[in-house]
Order: sequence, then C-alpha cells, then structure tokens
Amino acid sequence: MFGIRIPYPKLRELKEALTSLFSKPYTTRFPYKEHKPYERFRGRPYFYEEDCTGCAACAQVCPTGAIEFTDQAKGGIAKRTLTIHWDICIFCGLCQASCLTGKGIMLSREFDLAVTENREALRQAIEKELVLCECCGEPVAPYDQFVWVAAKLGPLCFSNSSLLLFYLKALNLSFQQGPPPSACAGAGLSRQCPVGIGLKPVPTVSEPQRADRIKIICPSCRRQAVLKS
Amino acid sequence: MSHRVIVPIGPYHPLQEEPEFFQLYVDGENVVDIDIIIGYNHRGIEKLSESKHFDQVPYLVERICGICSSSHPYAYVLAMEDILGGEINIVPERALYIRTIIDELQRIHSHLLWLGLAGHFIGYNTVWMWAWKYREPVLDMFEMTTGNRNNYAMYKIGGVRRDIKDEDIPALKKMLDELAPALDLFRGALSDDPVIKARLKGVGTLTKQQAIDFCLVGPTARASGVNIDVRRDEPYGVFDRLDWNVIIEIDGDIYAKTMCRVLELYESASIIRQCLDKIPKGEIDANIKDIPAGNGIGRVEAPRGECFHYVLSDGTNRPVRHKIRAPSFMNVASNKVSCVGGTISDATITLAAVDPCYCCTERVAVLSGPEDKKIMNGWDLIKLSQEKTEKLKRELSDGRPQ
Ligand code: SF4
Ligand code: SF4
Repeated sequence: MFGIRIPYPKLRELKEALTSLFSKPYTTRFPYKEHKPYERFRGRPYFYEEDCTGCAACAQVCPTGAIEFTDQAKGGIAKRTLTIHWDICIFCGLCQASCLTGKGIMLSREFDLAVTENREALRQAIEKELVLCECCGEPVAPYDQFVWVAAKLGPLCFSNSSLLLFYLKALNLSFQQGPPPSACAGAGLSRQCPVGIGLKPVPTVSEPQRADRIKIICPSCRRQAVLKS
Repeated sequence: MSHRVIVPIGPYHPLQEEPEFFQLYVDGENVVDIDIIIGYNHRGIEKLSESKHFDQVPYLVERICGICSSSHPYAYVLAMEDILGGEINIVPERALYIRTIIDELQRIHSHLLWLGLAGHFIGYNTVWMWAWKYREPVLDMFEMTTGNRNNYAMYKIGGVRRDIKDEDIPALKKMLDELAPALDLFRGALSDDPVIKARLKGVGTLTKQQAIDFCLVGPTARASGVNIDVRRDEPYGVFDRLDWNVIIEIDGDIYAKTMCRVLELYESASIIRQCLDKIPKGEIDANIKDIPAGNGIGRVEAPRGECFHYVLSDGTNRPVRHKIRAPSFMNVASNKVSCVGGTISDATITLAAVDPCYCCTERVAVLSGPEDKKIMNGWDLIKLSQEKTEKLKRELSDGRPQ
C-alpha cells in the first residue's frame, strides 16, 4: 500500500521499537548473577580488632547510634565491648572517617544485608581490655588506646604521669610489674594485650593521696590527688 | 444545578510520596473545587536535628527526601557556612566544584524520574521505561563517586567528604555523552508528537500572576514565566562562574512544565561538563573545628525549587534551632487553582506536575453520595488518566488519512 503517510513521530517510535526488539535486555539478572558494586561503594562496616584501640570515638560520632559500647568486669578482667548494629547503620562512613587509627572500623562493599528471622546476626562485637584506675577502680581507658597514644606521643608522654607510667611499663622499664618482653618487640609497642597489665586488684577503695599521683589513675582521682598536694 | 460529588485522594496520596490529602469536588467529570490538607507526615526532623552534632545533621537532613538528597544537606552546610563567614570564603575551590557537580547530577536524575512518571501517568509507558533506563547510568555515577546511589553523604561543613578522582572524570563525561541522544529523543517527542501536545497543552494552567501569588518556586514557577532561580539569584557553588541559562516557559500548563524540565536537563549536563573541564586540584576540606554562636541561612535550588534552611547556633556543638522549608510545601498549594476547571483524569497529572514524589501503593476512596462508596486504588487513577490519552490518540488518528 503505497501512499500511506506515516507521521514522523510514529516512525521514531517504530525505530525505537525495532532497536529495542533486537537488543539484549537492559536489566541484569541480579539474584542469579552476582552484582559487583563500584570500588568506593559504602557497604557494611566491620571492626578490625587488630587496628581498633577501643577508644569508642566511632560510637560518639555515629549519627544513628549504631555503635554501642559497654564497660564491664568479666572474670576479674574489665572489658569494653564495642558492638555495631548493622540494622541501624546507614552506611554514612562517619565512623571510618573519625576512627582514631583510621583502620579500626572500615566500610566494606557488602550491600546484601537481608536476614529473614535472625536479627541478632546483624551485629559484630569486639572486646578490648580496660586499664583500671589504681585508686578508685574505675576504667581509665582501653589498654590498646594507652599503647597507641604512648607510641604516638613518644617522649611527649612525660606530660602525663599515667601515660608515662604506662609507657614505661609497656617498655618493661618499670620494676613494679612488667609485661612479658614479647609485648615490646620491635620498635613500636605491641598491640597485643597481655592479660592483667595495669589491672591491679583494688584492695580498698581509698581516697586519692598525694603519692597516688605517680600511679595509673583516672582523671577525676588525679584531680583530687593534685588538689590534695 | 447538577450533583456535586467529593473525591477524596489521601491522606496518603496514591501517586505522590508525601502523604497529602486532596479532596476533589467534582461535578460530573469536572473538578470544581479542591481542598488540600497537608501535615500527615510529621517526622520531627527539625527537633531531631537539635539532638545531633553539627557534623551529624547532614546525614539526617539528606534523608528528608531520597530524591533531593543533595539539596537538603547542601542548604544546611550553606547555613552553617553563613555563620562561619560564607561558603566562598572558607570552602576550598575544588570542593566548590565537586558540590556543584553532585548538585547538578541530582537534578538530572530527579528530572528524569519525574519525566518517566509523567509519561506513565498519561499512558506513555515507553517513556517511563526509557527515562528510567537513562536515569540508571546517572545513579551509577553517584555510586562510583559518592559511594551510594542515593544519600550521597558528600556534604560536610567546610568542604566535601569524598573527592572526585581523576579517573572518574572520563566516566562522567561518557555518561553525559550517552545521555545526549536520550534528551534529544525526549525533546523531539515533546515538540512534535500530536498526542502529547493534545494531552498536556492547556491542562493545569497557572498564570504568571497566580504563580507569584502562590509564591511558587522552581520549574513550576519558571514554567509560568516567573524568572527565579536561586542558582543565579544568590549563587552558591560555582554557578556564577559557569555559562548556563535559566529556562523560562510562559504558558504555565503541564506541557510548559515538562518542556522546562527537559530543557533544564540540557543545562545541567552542560554545567557538569564545564565543571569537569575546569575543576582545579587541591584540598577538598577546610577542616572546620568550631562553630561560633550565630545564625545563618542556606538556600539551594533543588530540582523542585528553592530549599531553605535556617540554623541557630549558640556556640555549643549542636544546633539550637534548625528550620527547614522544602519546595513542595510552596508548590502543592498551587493545585488549588491548577486542578479546578479540569477533569478528574487531568487531576492525576496536574497534581503530579508540581513534582512532589510519588509512590503507588496506597488507596483512594471515591465517594459518590453517602450510601454508595467504592475504593479506587492508585492504579485506577492512573488508568483513568491513561484512558484519556488513548481516547485522544484514537481521535487524532481518526482525523488523519491513514
Ligand atoms: S557507617 Fe555511619 S551509621 Fe554506620 S556505624 Fe558508621 S557512623 Fe554509624
Ligand atoms: S579505634 Fe576506631 S574503631 Fe576502634 S573504637 Fe576507636 S574509633 Fe572505633
């Protein structure tokens, strides 16, 4: 049938229809075919126990409160438990950006977090040993954080006697109670946590005395001790 | 005097994301009046923001809207930088360019999303699929540069959080190149398809005076001939250093609104291209440590219009007051005049033309008389609209020698 006038818009539609007919589907077969996110995709964050010092800075900055930390004594050892709840996390990356070491918590590229019934599976917990105040028995900071700060400050930690004492102890220079020599292998300080360091059982909770200034004590005891002197 | 019937749409609008309640008063097929009731979706974001640190607030406000998720944090950081002395004085050059690129990429994906849905509502499901197909590469670029397809987490007081790497630039340019034929296709279809013209011309018209009276913003206002655009009127980012045009249409009907958005896509693509060419090397973050007491405002041209943030700081690390005004709040009210005089089948697209966001999951109750009540879902509404397009198509092809 010659002479039929097909308007241009119809021709254009026809052309698109034909090209679409002969091209392969634009969509992917996702659940059957694995999807690879881009290199810098922000996915599920993981704690890396080796590089985490337990400072809990990430818990402070997290906008949704997805990271939780609790300090408690278990079996004579005080521990800090850091838990990340992936069901609350919004993958913003602020924790990684604010991490003390920069490597303690890092976002991965995992995007498929769905669970059907077990919400408990959506969390990761790590434990860090705490150093207790030799006066009042309250936690001062995690062991690893002391090591990290002492190593970072080096000689500058003379400005803080808790830190200095810790530094000396960790270097096995203090005669009171030293860690096994392996703990100070290498130039830097060990990241391994020798159980029991800094953890003197507190016999009696005493008022901080002047002499307590040269012990590992918490800031509030230090304030009192300094005021007394 | 014929029988007046009320058609309630809402409180959860079947086609639009924001829970709004439209009560159409119809006389036969014609809409004679409309009541608009909003406020069903109070999430307490402003109050919540007062409980967050300054650095955490961008993550909260970028979740106000999943589609404008660059405009809200941008307006917020502009408000904070207003307290600190102005964006231009503290933010490093490179960060300004990155901010502009992200903002314009967002406009492209948002307008394509709207275009697809508008096509779907009037029965052009092919347009729906095309527009969303071409939106995918834009979202991929977001994933590549910012780490996520929505909720980019890019903005930070004093800079941006992530850099656009040198190797990203060719990929971005390639995406824009591939987008160009698609845009030509949309513009071509708009300008010469008789059915689209017949369906959209003269529907939901807003005159310039009405647009000014209703304080409309964004493409909704620009389609009625109101010459406003925050990007030009109060430049942020690097908009004042680039060569681009504010798109103005004069008709004020849905055709003009669609045209306005399609032409804006060209401008956005050109803005991104210029940014990619000019982007300097350097820092991306000014490392702001403290926020002094004071108050500031931030205005950003979101894809839907002006987005406004006000922050009051008292020198601590949390905002004392954070006030947000999103563009749809201004634009939705204009349905009061744009729907009246049209038919119910036009109301679907008219209510959608101001570009609030859609979701097609909820239902509508259509009441005709107190005793006889029937439930229509979102699909029924779309069908009503699509049937009209089909009718127009038939009429148009009947009048043509085949
Ligand atoms: S990614 Fe964001 S939301 Fe998730 S744990 Fe880190 S800071 Fe919290
Ligand atoms: S070291 Fe990093 S990951 Fe570990 S508690 Fe501190 S901020 Fe969190």
